[in-house]
Amino acid sequence: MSAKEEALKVIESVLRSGRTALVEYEAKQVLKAYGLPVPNEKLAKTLDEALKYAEEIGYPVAMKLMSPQILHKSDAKVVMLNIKSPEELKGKWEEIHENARKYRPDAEILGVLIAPMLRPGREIIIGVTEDPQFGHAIMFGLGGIFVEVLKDVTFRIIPITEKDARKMITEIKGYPILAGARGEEPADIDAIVDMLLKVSQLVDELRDYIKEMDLNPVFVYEKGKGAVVVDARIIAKAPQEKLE
Amino acid sequence: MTFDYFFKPRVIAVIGASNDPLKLGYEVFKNLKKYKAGKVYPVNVKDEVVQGVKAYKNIKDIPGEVDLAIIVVPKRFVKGAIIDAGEKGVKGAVIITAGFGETGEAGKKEERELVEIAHKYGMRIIGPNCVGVMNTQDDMNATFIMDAKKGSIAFISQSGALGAGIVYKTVKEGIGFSKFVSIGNMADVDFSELMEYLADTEEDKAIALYIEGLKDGRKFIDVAKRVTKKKPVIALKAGRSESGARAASSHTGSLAGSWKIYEAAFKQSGVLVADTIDDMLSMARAFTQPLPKGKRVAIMTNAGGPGVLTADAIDRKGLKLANLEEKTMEELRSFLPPMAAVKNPVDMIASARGEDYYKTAKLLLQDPNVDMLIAICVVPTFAGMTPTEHAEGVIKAVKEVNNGKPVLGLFMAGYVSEKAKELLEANGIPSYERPEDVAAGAYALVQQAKNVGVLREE
Repeated sequence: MSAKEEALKVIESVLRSGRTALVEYEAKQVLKAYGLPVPNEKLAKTLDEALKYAEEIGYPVAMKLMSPQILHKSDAKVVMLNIKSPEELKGKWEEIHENARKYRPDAEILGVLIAPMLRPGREIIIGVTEDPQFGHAIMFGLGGIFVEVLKDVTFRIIPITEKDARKMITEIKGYPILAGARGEEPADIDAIVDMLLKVSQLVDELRDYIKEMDLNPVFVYEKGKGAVVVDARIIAKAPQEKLE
Repeated sequence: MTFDYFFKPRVIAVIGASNDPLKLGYEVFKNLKKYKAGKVYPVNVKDEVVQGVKAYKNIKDIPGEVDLAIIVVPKRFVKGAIIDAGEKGVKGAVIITAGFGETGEAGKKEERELVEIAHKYGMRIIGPNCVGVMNTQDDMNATFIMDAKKGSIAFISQSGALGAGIVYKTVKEGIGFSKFVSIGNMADVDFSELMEYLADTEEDKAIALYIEGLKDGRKFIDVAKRVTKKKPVIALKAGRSESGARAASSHTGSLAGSWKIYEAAFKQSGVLVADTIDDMLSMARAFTQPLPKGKRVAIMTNAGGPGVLTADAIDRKGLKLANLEEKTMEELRSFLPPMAAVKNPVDMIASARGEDYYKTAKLLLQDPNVDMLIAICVVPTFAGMTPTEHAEGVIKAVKEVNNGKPVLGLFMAGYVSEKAKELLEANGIPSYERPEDVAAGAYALVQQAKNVGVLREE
C-alpha cells in the first residue's frame, strides 16, 4: 500500500464515522504512513491489552485516553505520565476513564494509547493551515512560550523545497536555540528539514482531505539523534468541501 | 504571450473620446494625442470631430486594423463597445468605466460577461474600474491622469487613485516609470500575466506591485518564481494589519493571518517585500545599477552624521560595512586632509571637492573587499564649490573603473542637491535623499542578486 493509500484509509474511516477531527492516535497513523517519526505507541481497548502493550513497550509508560469529544486532553486530565508498574497502570486505567466521564459524560472512548516515556528534547511545532488565496501553508516555530507568547513562527506555501525548509528554520528569531546557544549541542536540523518536507508532501498529496494540522510538540534531539512527534492533531475535510 | 498590443499598439481607438473637458474621455484622448509609436482615433457617437481630429461613430468604421481600444463610455454602453471592438478584431481593451465588480454580485456578473464576450473574440481586458495604462517610453498615456516621469520602473497598481498619487509625487522626487498599469478589478488580465510579460522587456528594470488582494495565489507564486529569476519584483501589500484571528480549529490556523501567508508566498517566490510606498520606490529604482556579488558596502561622505546613519540603516537590512584594504586606506590618506576618516565609512569632511569624490570613489570601487558603493554628499554651498562637482566626480570614477559594482547616491540637501541628483540619475545612478531609502535600495540589489544566484555564498 502506498503512503497515500494508507493515510487515506485512516482519514476516510474517520470521515465515514461522521467526524472531521482525527484523534491523536489516528493523526499519528497518517503521519507514520509518510515516514514521520512517531513513538512506538499502541491503542489499548481493554485493560488486558493495556498491560500487554505496556510490557512490550517497557515501563515506564504514558497513557492517553482517545476520544473524539476530548481534544484538549490535559484539560480533561486524561493523560497519565510515568507509569512504572502493572499495578500502577491498573489504578490509572480506572482513574483515566473516570476523568473522561466527568469531563464529558457522553464521550465516546476509542481506547487508551499506551506510549513510551520520551526523553525530552527541544520543542518545536509544525503546523498546516489552508488559505483561501494560496491553498495549504506549512508553519514552523519553536514550541511552548516561543509560539504561545512570542508567536515566533514562519510560514511557506505547500509544496516547499529543501531550501525553503532550511530557510524556515534559520529565519525564526529563536534559531540560536536550535543551533546551540549557551554551549548546548546543536539540534538535529536535518531531522527537522526532513519532517517539514514530509509534511509538505503529505499535504500536497492529500490536499483535498486535509484542512489543518498541528504537530505540537515535536521533540528534537541532538544532531544525528532525530526527532519525534509527541502530540498531533489533524482536521480532515470531505473532498467536496470547498473554502468559501 | 505578448501584451505588446496593450503597451505598443500600432493603432488605438478611444471609445468615448470627448470634446467635453468635464468627461474622462476628454483627458484620455488629449493624453493619447502625444503617442508617437502609432495612430490614435477618437470614437464618438455624436461629434464628427474630437479635439480637432476626425472622429468615428463606431470603432468598426475606422479604416484598417485596431490593436487597442480604450473604453471610457458610460456603464450602460460598455457591453456594446466590447462587442464592437471584438468584431473589429481588436486584441486588447482597457475598460476605464467603473460600476462593475466593485459594486457587488450583480456587477461581478456583468464583469464576467464582458470577459466572456471578449474571449470569444480572442480579446483581452484590463480593468474595468481603472485609470488606464501608460508606456512612457513611447509617450503613450492611455489614462485620464497626467504623465508619469520617464524611468525604469514598471508599476502595477490595484488602486487607481493611489497609483495616480504615486505617479504625481514621484515627478517631483525624480523617480521615473517605464510603465504604469492601473489594473482595476482584474476581471481578466491579472498581476501574474502582466509580470510574465514585463519579465522579458528591455526597458523595464524592475516590476513594482501595489497589491490589495490576489485572485489566484498559486498562479501568482508559479509565475513570480519564474519572473524573479530574470527581473526584480517588489510588492507592497495593503491590509497587513488584518487580525490573524481566522476561524480555525487548530493552533496553526489561529496563528496564520492573511498577511503571514502572503509574506510566505512572496518569500518563496523571490518577491521583495516593501513596507511602505517609499520603501517600494526606493527598492525598485535601484535596478538601473548592476547586481552586487556580495553584501559588503563602502560608504563615502563629506559629513559624519549621514555616514553613520547610513551605516546603521544598512546594518538593519543585514548588509555589512566593507573592511577596506590597508592599501586603499593609505592611498586615501595621501590626499585627504588629516581630519578625514579613511576607515569605512570614509569621511572626506566638508572641504572635499569634486576631485576628492572622484579619487575616493575610484579607490573604493577598486578595493576587492568592496561589493557596493554608497556615495553621500551634503552638497556644500560655500568655499566656491559648484552644486554638481561632487556628483561629477562620482560619475567620472564609475565610468573609469567600470567594474560592474553598483553605486548608489545619497545627496541630502533638499533643493540644493536637485541638480546633482538629476545628473546622477541621468547617468543611471539612483540618488536618494534619506539614509533608510538608500539602504532599502542597497538591500533590494542584494536580495535580487541572491534570487538570480550571483551573490557569493557566505
